[in-house]
Amino acid sequence: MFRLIVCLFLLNFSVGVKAQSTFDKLNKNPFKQTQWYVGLRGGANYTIVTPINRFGIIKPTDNADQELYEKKYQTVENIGAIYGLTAMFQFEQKFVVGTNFSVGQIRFSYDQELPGEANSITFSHQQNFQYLDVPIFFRYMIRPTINRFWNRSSRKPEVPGIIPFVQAGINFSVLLDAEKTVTQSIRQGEIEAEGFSFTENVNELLNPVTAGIFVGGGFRFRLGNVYLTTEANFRQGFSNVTDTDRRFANKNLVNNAYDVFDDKSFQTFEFVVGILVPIKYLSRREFIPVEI
Amino acid sequence: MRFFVIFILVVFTSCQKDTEAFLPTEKFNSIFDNPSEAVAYNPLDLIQTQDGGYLILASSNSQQIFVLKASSRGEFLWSKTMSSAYIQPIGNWIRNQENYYFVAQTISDRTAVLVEVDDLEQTLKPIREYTGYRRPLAFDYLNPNSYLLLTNNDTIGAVLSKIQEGFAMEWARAFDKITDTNAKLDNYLISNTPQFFVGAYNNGATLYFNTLRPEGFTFTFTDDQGIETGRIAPANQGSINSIATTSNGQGAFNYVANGQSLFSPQLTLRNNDSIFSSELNGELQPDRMSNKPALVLPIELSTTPYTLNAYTTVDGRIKLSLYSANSGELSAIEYIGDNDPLELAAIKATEDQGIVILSKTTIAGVRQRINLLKIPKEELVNLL
Repeated sequence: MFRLIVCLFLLNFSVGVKAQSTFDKLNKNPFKQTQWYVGLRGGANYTIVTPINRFGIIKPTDNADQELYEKKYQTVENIGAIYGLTAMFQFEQKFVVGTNFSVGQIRFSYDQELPGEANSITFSHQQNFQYLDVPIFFRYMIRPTINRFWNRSSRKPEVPGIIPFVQAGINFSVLLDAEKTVTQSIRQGEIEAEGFSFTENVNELLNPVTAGIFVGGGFRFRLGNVYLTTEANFRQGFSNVTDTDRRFANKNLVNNAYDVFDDKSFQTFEFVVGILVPIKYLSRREFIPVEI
Repeated sequence: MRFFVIFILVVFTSCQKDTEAFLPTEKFNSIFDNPSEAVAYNPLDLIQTQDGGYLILASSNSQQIFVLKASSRGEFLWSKTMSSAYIQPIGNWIRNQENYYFVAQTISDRTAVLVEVDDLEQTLKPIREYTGYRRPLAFDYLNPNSYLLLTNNDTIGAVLSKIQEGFAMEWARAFDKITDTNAKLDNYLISNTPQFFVGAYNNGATLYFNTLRPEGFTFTFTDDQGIETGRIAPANQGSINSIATTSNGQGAFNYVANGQSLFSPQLTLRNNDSIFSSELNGELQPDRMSNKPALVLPIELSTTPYTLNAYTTVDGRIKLSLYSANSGELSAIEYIGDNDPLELAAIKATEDQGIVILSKTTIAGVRQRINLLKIPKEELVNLL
């Protein structure tokens, strides 16, 4: 009898040790408590220009005419493209830290008039800047915290298939290329005629690096073993885009279009779709990613 | 979540500090336009005001006096057109205590009138008429507290007057006895565009003026009482265009002699001699438009004195030539302007050791407008 009791006890203990060992291995493995993601992203943006200090060549000779000579920033044709790579590290179920390497196109335009009783001359300025945007951001996933410990049935904890998120970060933008096209038009009464048009590279008139912040939100959708993200962000620039020391450096613009850049920053709304691929797998053969 | 909120707050507060820190540029280039193509401006002179801005004196094509105030960044601040009872303003601006002054003439009998400009009140007021002194030609400092006025009396010709600090006339000197001088001067101006000017050096011990005299357009030296001591007479219809003097009794001259434009950067002034301008031994300025002003300005860059010579070129630009004041050698050249033609009107040093250039430009082919351009000190140093 005593032997039977000892045998049952040992059997029970050995089964217990075996079961605890399997689950604990999985649950306490630091490998499955974080995840890295890489991906592609692309979308469109819409830019609003905020002039900080206005500069110009043509000025009025009377207070009443002040407004006639101000640059008029346009709100159409300000849509640009954005595309690039993304990398993220999920260190907690609700928190992700990430960065992007995106090429962002900033397009905006303004008109400046040389008003006249007989002849009015309008200069239309269309800008096309390209920046390499490198943000550092935190993303907060709006989801319930789930128990990571697998139960004895070996069922994986269920992560929601659709997770909304909000995010915020600091953004650094490195100027890649900047062009502007100036088109002159002359109006005499009812008759309007096209004047000259030229395109200038204006890299030298801009600061090479600008900074800002962004906030936004979106959704993460699970598509098999990868994720689709859609996000909408608002970027606020805090640096002056214009190089104040080089404002008058382009003589063609100064002398022929009477143009110098204002001190300005950009506000940008962007809409981006991305694909995220997790790079830590429980089973590489079966492509089962770590999901936390 | 708490960490996330703190992160957003830190980012927002740290970035917002910089939004007002964008600095305005020292350099500017301003063209002051009027939508009416029928209006034309002829800029004459400028002066830097106490607040770092600039007062510009100009006349319009309707002979009216126009004063414009620009900020230190070249932005338009205010302008005033004077009553049509006063016409033909002349440079230079002078400053007396808080206000600024220039001289014009009455439309009725061409009497010289001193006009006071109150920058704060934005007003132009004729404050004194110099009765009997007609057709003013030049006005400038004798020393910081007194001034020189050059007028053209119809019965005797050039008259040089000393004006005291309170603007009363201390003395006046006539030099010739010519009749009908107004008609003679008008005839001369039909085919010539000379520069009338007055000035002084040697702490006011030697005075000079430049105007039409019986032998032609003559540069005249006088003592401190206005008694003539010497002159530079024209060579073959030429004239002296401008002069800058130094404390060591030397001068730089722009002049036209024998139909050629010349510049003499370093010349010992012979105020007791009578010579011809052809004896000044200047260097040719073949690209200078000889019927437009050429001006000389002494400046200091990196503690080294330079003479800046500026003139309108035949292709409608402004050429700046920097000469070493010590050696007289040419150090640097810079051109200003492009398609729209420029005509130099005045050039002045600024308080921050840059220069401002006042010129007339013609934009869109027909509009004669005032152009004010500032070149900061750093840019001037980089030219060297």
